[in-house]
Amino acid sequence: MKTNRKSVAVDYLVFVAPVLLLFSVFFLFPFFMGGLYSLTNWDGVRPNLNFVGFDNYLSLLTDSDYLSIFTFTVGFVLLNVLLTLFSGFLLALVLEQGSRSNRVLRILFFLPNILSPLVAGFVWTFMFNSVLPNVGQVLNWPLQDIRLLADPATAFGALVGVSFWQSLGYVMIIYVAGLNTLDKSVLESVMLEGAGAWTRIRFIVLPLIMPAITVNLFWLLSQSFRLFDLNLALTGGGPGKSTTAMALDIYRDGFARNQMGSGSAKAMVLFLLVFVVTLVQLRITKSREVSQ
Amino acid sequence: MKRFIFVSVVVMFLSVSAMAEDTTVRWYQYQVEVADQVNAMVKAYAAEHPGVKIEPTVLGDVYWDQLKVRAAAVDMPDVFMTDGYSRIKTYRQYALDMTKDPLAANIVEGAKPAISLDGKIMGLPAQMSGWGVVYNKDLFAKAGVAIPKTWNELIKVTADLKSKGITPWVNQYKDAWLLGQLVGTAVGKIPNVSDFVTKANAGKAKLAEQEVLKRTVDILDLTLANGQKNPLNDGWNEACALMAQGKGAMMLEGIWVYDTIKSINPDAKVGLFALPFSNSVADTKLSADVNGTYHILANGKNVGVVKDLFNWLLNTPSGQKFFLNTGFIPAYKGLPSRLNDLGRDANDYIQAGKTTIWGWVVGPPNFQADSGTVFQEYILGKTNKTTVLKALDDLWAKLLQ
Repeated sequence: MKTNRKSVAVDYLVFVAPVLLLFSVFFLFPFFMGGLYSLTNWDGVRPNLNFVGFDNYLSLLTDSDYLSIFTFTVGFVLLNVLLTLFSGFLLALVLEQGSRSNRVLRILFFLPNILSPLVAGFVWTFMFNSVLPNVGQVLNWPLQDIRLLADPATAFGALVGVSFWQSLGYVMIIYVAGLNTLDKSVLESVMLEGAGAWTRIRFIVLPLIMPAITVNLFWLLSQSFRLFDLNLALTGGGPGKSTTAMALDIYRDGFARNQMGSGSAKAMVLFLLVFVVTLVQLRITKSREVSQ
Repeated sequence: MKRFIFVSVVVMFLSVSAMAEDTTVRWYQYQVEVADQVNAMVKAYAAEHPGVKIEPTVLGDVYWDQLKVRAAAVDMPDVFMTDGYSRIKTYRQYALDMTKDPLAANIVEGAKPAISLDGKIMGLPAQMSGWGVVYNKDLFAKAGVAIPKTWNELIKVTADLKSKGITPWVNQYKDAWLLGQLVGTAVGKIPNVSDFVTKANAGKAKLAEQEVLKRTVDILDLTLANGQKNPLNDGWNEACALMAQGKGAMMLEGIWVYDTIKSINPDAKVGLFALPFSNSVADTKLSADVNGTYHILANGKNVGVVKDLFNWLLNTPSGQKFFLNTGFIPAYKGLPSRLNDLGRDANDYIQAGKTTIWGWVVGPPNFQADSGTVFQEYILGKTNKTTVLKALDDLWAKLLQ
């Protein structure tokens, strides 16, 4: 019997249609509208707007503020991703064994991830400003005059630190899941062959948990590029403009400066950046995945 | 007879439909701190006016985003708020012209610049508010200093406090908006400021050429040299705590810090005086302006009902309780008030007409927060006394694009 291709296509469409409709209305449509607004000088309120071509994009090239925001964001992403990716793996190696204390520790490390970044930001502002100096006073350590959020360099460090504290647990859980699927007999046999710990990790463990690395790297990259809540709550982009990441800048353009056009253009640039970077990353890490 | 039947049918129809359907007035309120008072007002009005229901939405920082979303969705509330000036321009098509309305007849003079657009009164101000130097009365008494009325006296008071071992200034410079209020206060003192704004918008006038702006940098330097360490670390909570605990004698702030300071230390005695920019006593006026103005939705279906509501608020004792409960400084002649220490000090300046406008609201969108950021970069040492003012002018131009 000949398969009726047309009816198969119709069947597919029927099943996909509800989701496709929702996706179009809530994702595709706003996305294309954003692209459209990025070509205008819309202020976000008034119904009248003019098309200005690629002016919003071109002016970014000469905007020194935007350049520093861009470099800050890229710096944050690099440091945050590498730090969390590496530490999460080490932590997972240590906590991989399913003993009871390890299970409790895993939960403890995962807990910060449940907090909303906004709450985490406010809690840590309080820690840096009130708890730390008071602890210093009680213990007579020279902590009283340390104000992490007052200086651009330490504020950057604080931002990376709190972000690390929040995402470490999540990354660790993914790694632990990956490690648990490892075939223990493979590890045992290479151990009998006399392979050391480093060799086992480098040539057996790492290639086999590559899927976990792919997931973690993807998650971390996209999370870090879109840093917003924590940025707003912890440093507010300051002191000065020193810790303003791209998403916060987009928000301020659109909603505070009444420059929805320019904000949309910046949002499109951020989208392209995340899109290209994660696509390249997925290509590279996927190609290194091996099956057991 | 026919006519009578017709009229009574119409009357019956109208009363039935009025009974069947309550009128709902959607009220958008900025400033979460008055949420309780708004809810109390809503209850009081409902008790006296069956058939009309006020549906309040009280929002904090997200208010402006929400208002923007409502406008974009063509779903504006019957009563909404702006902070006047350029924000009215943005929402002018939604705001009812109140110029000839009796509700606007008693608005105080000092409130009018904020709510006027092209000579028309576009809103009903909620309250007046003042910004200047909040000071600790006990520490001033301890050091034996009086309220400074000129720039030189301010320098002297700072030095006298310091010589008595008191930290003169508490600097809340993590908050860019606070520094923006300092910049804005200076802008408000530029002679003929509305003319200046028009010229600045055309690129024909510069902030850097204004004497008051140059003095503003001196004021910033004075506070930095005589304040707590790490001023960029301390925002509202930290600064209010330092003030409340008497760890500093003066801070640049508005009357709105009163509750926060009192909640940390109920015994703190604070007052407010105008920040002196020059050595002329007559020039030393309080930076005071409308803090939030109500707008009645133009072309809304409830215009009449909303006007009745405001008439009740402004002209009946039960409505006026709203203004007593909020502790608002009245923006209307003859409206009763219940003020705290800071409000009373500000009201004295307002009654005497010794006020200048809040310049931070006449600049381009977000000039307040962004100009504060420019001052933060000065504090970080990225700009100097000359370049910081040029950076302000560059910002003004950039925000206009």
